[in-house]
Amino acid sequence: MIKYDENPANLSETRQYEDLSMAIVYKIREGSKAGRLYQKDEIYLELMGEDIQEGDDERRKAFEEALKRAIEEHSDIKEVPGAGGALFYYSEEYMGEPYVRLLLQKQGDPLLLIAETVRDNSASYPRPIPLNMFKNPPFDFSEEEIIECLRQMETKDLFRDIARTVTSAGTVFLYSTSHLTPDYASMLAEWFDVGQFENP
Amino acid sequence: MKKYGGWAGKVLRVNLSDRKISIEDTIEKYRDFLGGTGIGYKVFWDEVLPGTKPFDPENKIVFAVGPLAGTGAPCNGRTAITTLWPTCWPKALIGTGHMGGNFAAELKYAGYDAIIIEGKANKPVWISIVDEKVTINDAGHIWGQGIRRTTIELSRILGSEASVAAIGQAGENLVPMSVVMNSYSHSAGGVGAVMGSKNLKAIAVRGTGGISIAGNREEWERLIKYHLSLLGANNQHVVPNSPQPWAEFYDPASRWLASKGRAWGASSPVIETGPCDPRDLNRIAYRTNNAAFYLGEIAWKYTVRGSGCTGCPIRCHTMIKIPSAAAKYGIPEIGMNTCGGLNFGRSFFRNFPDGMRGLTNVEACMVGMHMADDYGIWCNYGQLQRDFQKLYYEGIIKNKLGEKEFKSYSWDKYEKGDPSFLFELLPRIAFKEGELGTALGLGTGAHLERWGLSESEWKKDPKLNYWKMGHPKHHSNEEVGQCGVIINTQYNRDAQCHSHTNFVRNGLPLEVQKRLAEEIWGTPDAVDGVGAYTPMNVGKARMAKWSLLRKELHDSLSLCNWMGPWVASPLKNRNYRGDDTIESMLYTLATGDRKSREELDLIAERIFLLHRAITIRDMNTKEMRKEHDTIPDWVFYDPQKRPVYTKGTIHLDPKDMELAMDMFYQEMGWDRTTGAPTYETYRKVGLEEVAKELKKRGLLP
Ligand code: SF4
Repeated sequence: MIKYDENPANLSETRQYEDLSMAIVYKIREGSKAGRLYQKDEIYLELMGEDIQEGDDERRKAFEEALKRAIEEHSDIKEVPGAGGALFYYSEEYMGEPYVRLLLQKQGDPLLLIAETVRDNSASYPRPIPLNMFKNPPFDFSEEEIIECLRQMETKDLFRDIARTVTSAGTVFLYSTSHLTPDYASMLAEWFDVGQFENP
Repeated sequence: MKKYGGWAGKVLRVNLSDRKISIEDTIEKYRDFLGGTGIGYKVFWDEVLPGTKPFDPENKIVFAVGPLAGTGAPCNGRTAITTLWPTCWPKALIGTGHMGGNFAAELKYAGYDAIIIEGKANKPVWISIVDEKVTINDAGHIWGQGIRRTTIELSRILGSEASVAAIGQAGENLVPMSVVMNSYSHSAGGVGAVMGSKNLKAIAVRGTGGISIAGNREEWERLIKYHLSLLGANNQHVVPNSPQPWAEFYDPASRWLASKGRAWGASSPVIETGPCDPRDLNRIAYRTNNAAFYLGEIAWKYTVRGSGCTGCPIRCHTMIKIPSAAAKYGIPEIGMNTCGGLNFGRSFFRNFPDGMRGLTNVEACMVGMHMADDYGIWCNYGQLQRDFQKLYYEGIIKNKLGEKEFKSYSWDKYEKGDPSFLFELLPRIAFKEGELGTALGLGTGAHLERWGLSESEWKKDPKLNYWKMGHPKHHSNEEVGQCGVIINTQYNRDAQCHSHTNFVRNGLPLEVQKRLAEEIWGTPDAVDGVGAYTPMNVGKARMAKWSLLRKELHDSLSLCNWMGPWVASPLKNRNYRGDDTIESMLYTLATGDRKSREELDLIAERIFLLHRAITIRDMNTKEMRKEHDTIPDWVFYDPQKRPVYTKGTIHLDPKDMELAMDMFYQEMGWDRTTGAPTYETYRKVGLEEVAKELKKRGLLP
């Protein structure tokens, strides 16, 4: 029997697992480290090498039990429902709740994802954020997608608070008028985009 | 005498006039001042008379490091250089510059905590230090050469492990805006011409010894690991620049750029920086990429790796490889630097043909960096470039130059953002050629005087960042409100203090910053959001005092104030707390001299007060509030005429700033009317002799 190293920092991808539950734990942790939420069928496919729908009952049952154990015995492994009710798994040791939220939002309405991110930034830091940030993970939008989202937002009441400001360098920033005044948002955008580089 | 760890134990004194080389005991003479700026100020108080000018043989240069230099403490590679500052205007006063690189560690390994240079050689020389063997050598073969060639030549003699601190042609030609530089890209501005005035081309040092740590080895290693765990990216930004799986917060303004998909594109093989979970201490060096931070996304594909000072995992000097710059301009394709160095060339220009973050901006960076770092030209924290832009675009250059000289520059190239313009401008600064080159090389104060321009105009223009005495601000009200302004009143050059800005720019939400502020300075109101300032309060005065003392502490221990203090951390499980006792823990274990945070802060205060005392003595006035701690007009001005404290404006209220100075002086125990420290304050920090001397001179309040 292989002894499992319980220190999550010592994860090794090449480790062979005799205990299916531990294999699930490590799969989820690896996913979280890399910024990925797992669904049950994805774990099944990767660990059992077959589609969950096609697996025989016994194997499926063993997997379900192992997954249950993984959650019960490892406090960092969490289960969270997505927009359509599907369950997702992550390790809170490696993935924080804000990132989970972004990933779940990403599976839903992209307009809402952008708007909620903008609102959150305007409310808590507070600051406007550059449009370009949505090109980064976990958003991974293309320039065209961002422009299209913004175009659509303009037509919907729900997003009336989402406003833009453009810096002297031509960079577009977004903010929520529910949390920042236009004047303050434009000063902050100018500071982030131009000012801070002139004050290194 | 008790034996201490940390310090090398000896201070080297080299008199270039009579070629006398002598040794002093660090502990006996300087322990109460730690090292670095502390030793520098002590030497200047004791030995350099008021009225001495920067280029007089009686001026000295003190290269000094502290007990943590060369140890395993993170970010320990800074050398403090103290001298009479040639760009301080209208009267040169004491100042310090700081260079990173490997010089500090090498000096310690050779057995020295400091080098005091005095006198003037009768012909160009360089100093060779190989452990105990110290010689003054003829520099005929390297005089006239750039810093790069000088470094290569001296490394050939001393070996590639030697660290060479050299000046370029700018320093030789006594251009006040000049640097000394070691380890390819680590410079200290303002010092080059003082070395040049002494006919000192370079100091090359090779040490084969080590530093002993007084404390228990395991405990020391545990402490280093603990310190590493609190590090953020450069400038102690503790949250990543974009959302990462592990991170609760992110900040697009953070220097923590590492992320999935971001890679060092010019390394072979290409290295992806990845999410860089803060618990993975082996990946700290991947967090920062200052080339991408300053030059834009485009720099990723040109990034080779990070580089930096001895013992620093941050590697804030990013190495980039730009083949197109080499092909077009005949410069080396690889270069590296951080902040000011990366910005040197590009900041002369208002625009580039492909935008401010395109390839031309990177090429301008490369051209400027290679030339400035070879000629040894200083930017005075960007004031050179800001002055240049204003003088050109307002037609002043055209008015002040003769037609022939004006036409000798390709202004069309300049306006188009063609980096080759720098080949016309920079050599003329280094060689004092023509009126423009000569004037720009003087530094702002003397330049304005030469051209009959009024300093008060400079003090009105918020775009110039100009502060006072020939120098710009260094993190003032643009981000830290009244606290930043107070800090900028205190020095004789730009303040170079990062303690406060590292905190407010750390990327944590305001609410978290306020929670930490309450723990450190007793009230959450010590910090405001950027551009959402509130009236002065005692927390801000405490923060200013703490920031200044930590700066001096770092400059004396040889910790990098571009990183510390470490009062915030990236660690959620610590509630983003750092540790305000890191410095005292490191000092205690390294030296064996047990000091609490408060005791060490008292020494920092002693050092800071000695700087104040020298300034008062050399200005021959106690009226510091009126004559020294001044604030430029633009701080009180809003172009849109909004009331102060309106969100979105950074200007402050003059009356409130008077109160701020009152509160700061009170925190410091200084006289509020004059801004001069009292006898009792000097006595409390162990400077009673200094107080007596000032009293004799009528310079106590
Ligand atoms: S942060 Fe940069 S300047 Fe400071 S010690 Fe590290 S490498 Fe040197």
